[in-house]
Formats: sequence, structure tokens, C-alpha cells
Amino acid sequence: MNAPTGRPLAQRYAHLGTGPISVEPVASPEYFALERASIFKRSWLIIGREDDLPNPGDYLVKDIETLQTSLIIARGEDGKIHAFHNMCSHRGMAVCPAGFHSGKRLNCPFHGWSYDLQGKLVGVPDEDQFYDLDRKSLGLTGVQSEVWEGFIFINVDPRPTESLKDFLGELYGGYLGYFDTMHKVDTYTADLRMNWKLYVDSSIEAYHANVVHEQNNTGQNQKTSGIRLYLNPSSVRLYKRHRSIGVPAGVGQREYSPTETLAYKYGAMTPYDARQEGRLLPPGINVDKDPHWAFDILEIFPNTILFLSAPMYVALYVWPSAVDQCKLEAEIYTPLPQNAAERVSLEYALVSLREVVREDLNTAAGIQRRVRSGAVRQFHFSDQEIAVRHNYKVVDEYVSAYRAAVAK
Amino acid sequence: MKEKPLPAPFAELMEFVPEWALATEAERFHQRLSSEMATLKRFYDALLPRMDAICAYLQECPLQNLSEEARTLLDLALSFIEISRVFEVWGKKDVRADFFPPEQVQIRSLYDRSD
Repeated sequence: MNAPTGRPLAQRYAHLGTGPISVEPVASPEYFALERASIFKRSWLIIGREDDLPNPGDYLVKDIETLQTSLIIARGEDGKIHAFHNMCSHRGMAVCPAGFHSGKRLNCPFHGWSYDLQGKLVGVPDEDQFYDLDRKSLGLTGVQSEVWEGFIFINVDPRPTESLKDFLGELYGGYLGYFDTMHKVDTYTADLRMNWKLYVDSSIEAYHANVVHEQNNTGQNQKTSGIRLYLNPSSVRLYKRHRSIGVPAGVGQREYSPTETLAYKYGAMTPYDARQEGRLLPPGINVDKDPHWAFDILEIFPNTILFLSAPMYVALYVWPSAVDQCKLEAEIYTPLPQNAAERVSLEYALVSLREVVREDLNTAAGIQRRVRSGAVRQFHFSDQEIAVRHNYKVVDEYVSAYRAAVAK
Repeated sequence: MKEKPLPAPFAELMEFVPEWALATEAERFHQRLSSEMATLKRFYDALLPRMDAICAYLQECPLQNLSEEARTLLDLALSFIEISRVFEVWGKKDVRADFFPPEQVQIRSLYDRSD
């Protein structure tokens, strides 16, 4: 589309303001400590997919530096998902090593206390040597968990202030069944030397695509078309804490490269395919059912970024451990190719996605490198970047409320 | 190293098999980055005119039940996809990566093999 007239998003979301935003939230270790306490240790966070644990007895152990803990996520004998801190009730040893496992018992490697997959303490060697041991109260320390659209969420707050349904708010009913039809085909992980928000920010506006992705095929190629990419303001949805934008496709005329043509011919797996009209997508995706739509970017606060298109979705999780350090986990889901030519086509989409993600990571890492200088103390966001502003505002609401509560 | 055969119609591509018929996405990525531009160009120029025929052949091969020949041909085609942007989009071997070097990303594909 052409440039939007005026600055419509600042009017629609007047509460976000229009002024500059301090760089403190990406530079200050104190600010990160407050984020960890007020946001990460109190929010619902995605820890995996139900599909990762298909059978009773399957369990996932994950060390999460963000939460300063390690978690066990298990499918119990009851078929339900249970989550626990990975710490023995006896003397605090980590019960299980990280990774995927399967079994009926979790045995502590220190003195052999054992637990079932619902966290119950079921074995204490030489139990009669203890004094009034109350087995019932000595199960693994539980962590709240709930499932939405196949995503397993956990919340390490022992008494979450809201249910997952209330936390997801407007998103809750909008994506019914969409995630079920696709399978994990590719994973990228990286230790990033950057504030977690810098990568979250890089995904939620299209302004940068004109420069950072100038030469990649993100639904257009500004280098050859000369036409700039803009978000349609009506595709920008800023919620209480989550946010979603729709990235347009087919902006400007361009010639497909020979390999791109081949990829479409044998499988059309690329997320930047404009020819997606008529596909049944749930109401939350491409909310206006715009025919010139490529994909949505949905950010589930605080640390999940989802790219959602008709033939592919990408889930990116950012796990901070310090103000300038985080871990990225990116998972790509598609329908599984049936023949080997579809596999070739899929690879085109995967390489395309990987290199666009690397371009964004490079930019975010570049910002972090400069932030230390203190030379630039404020960020300035345009109307097209309002979703980035939204992130800083939402984060700051949590941090300010926490600061105020602690000061009392 | 065991010789990997190609389907007969593509036998002329045998010279590329040792370098480019790779078992994992990470190997293809690093092969692209560590190769000379001239090497990449020779591979690109040899495969490009054959890619449509390669895909037409592979379209008849169910992914779950690949012959060794078809798998080797698929591996070559995947490497071609890996390098195609070097000549079709970027004019260089990689996207900008001065702040986030390629060694920092770990890639694991569902389709990686351990052979």
C-alpha cells in the first residue's frame, strides 16, 4: 500500500504517547532485575508444545536461567501435563538432567529419593532413619501449567494473579485449530549478546524491512521495485499486553528469481506467497482478511514471537539471563512434505526465513554493542513502529508497579 | 568414503557429490560460507539448468521411501537451494553478519541425518 495518511495509530492508541523512549530498559542491569521479578517470574510463558510429550511418562527437563530454575514438564499417568521445579525436596539436588526423557519415576541422583510423574514422593531409601517425614507434603515443588492451542504455558508464581485465559485476553479464541495442522521441521538456537527486547522489537514493525531486508524476498524486493513497504494501520492490533501486525504481500511488481519460481512450482511453501486467498484461517489471523496479506506477527507478551502464515508458522522464544544476554529458540512448523520435490521447495522457505532472522539478529546485536557508549539515550518511534513503543510501555507498567509496591 | 551414486539421468553431476551431497542443513550452510565464490558459481551454473528436471524426478519419489540415488540427488538440490541467493539475490556469500556471526547459530533440521 501507499504510505498511510497522517499518523493514525498514535490517534487510535493515544495512551501510548508519541515522545522518545529512554534506552535504560535495554542498558540497565537494575531494570533487568526488575523485569525478571515483575514480568518473567509472574507471567504465563510458553515452555513447549503438547506434541513434544505425546505419551504418559514423557517428560521434558529445561534449565531456564531467566527464571533462575530448572523445570520438569511431564505427561503424567493421568495423561495430563504437570510442571515442577527440578529440585529434590530432600536437599535440593537437581533431580533430572536437561533434555527429553521417558519413564515412570524421577530418581534423585544424590540419595535416591524418587517421585512419580505427577510429582508425588514415592520412594525414600532408609525412610525410618528420618524423623516424622511427611511424604505427602514433600512432593516436587509444583509449577502452574496450562495449555492453549497446543502450547504448554507455565507460571512460576505460586499464586498467579490471573488464569492463562485472562492473561491471553483478546487472543484466546482467535486461533482455534490453526497450530494443529503443522509439524516442527527446523530449529535454530543461539546465545545472543543483546537485551531480549531488542530482538522482540526487530520483528514487530516493517519500517526496517525496507533497509535490513532490502535484498531478501519479504513479499517484495524494494531494491528492484523501488516501492516502500508499509503496514496497513488496520492490521496493527495492540492489546493490553500482546500485539499483532499483518505484513502485506505483493507490494510492487517484481520478477521472481529462477529458484523462487521453482520453489513455487513444486510446493509453494514460502510464507511470502501472495497467492493465499481462499485459505481458511481462523479469525485472529489476517484479521481484515486482506487479500494482499503475507503473514501476521503475533507477540505473546513477554517473550514469544509468532510468524503466522497460511503454509507455515514460526515460534521464536527469547529467554533473557542478563540485561545484555538472552537465548533464542526458533522453531519452524509446516505441513510435512510428501515427495522429495516438496522437500526442495520447503528448503527454499527455510533458508529464506533463516537468513531474514539472522539479518534481524545482526541489527539487534549491533544496537546492543553501541548502547554501552551512552551516546544515544533515547529511542524515537514512528507511527509505523508503534508496536515497538507498545512493548516498552507495557514492560514499564510492570516494572513501575513493582517498584512502587517494593517501595511501600 | 563410500561412493554415493546418482540416478542415471543426472550422472554428469557426480563431480559435485563429494562436496555438496551433505547430510544436514548446518553442513550445507557452512559449506556455502566456507567455499570460494568461484566454487559456488561453478556448482550454481551446473545445477541451475538441471533443477527443473531434478525436481520433476524428485516429485515422483515419496520422501518416506527414498532410494540412495534419489536421496543423493535431493541432497544436491538442497545445497543448490542453500546457495541460490548468493547469485540471485545478494551478490555475495552471506547476509550482513558482522554483529551476529554465523558460528553463533545452531541449526537442527527434522531431516538431518547422521551418515
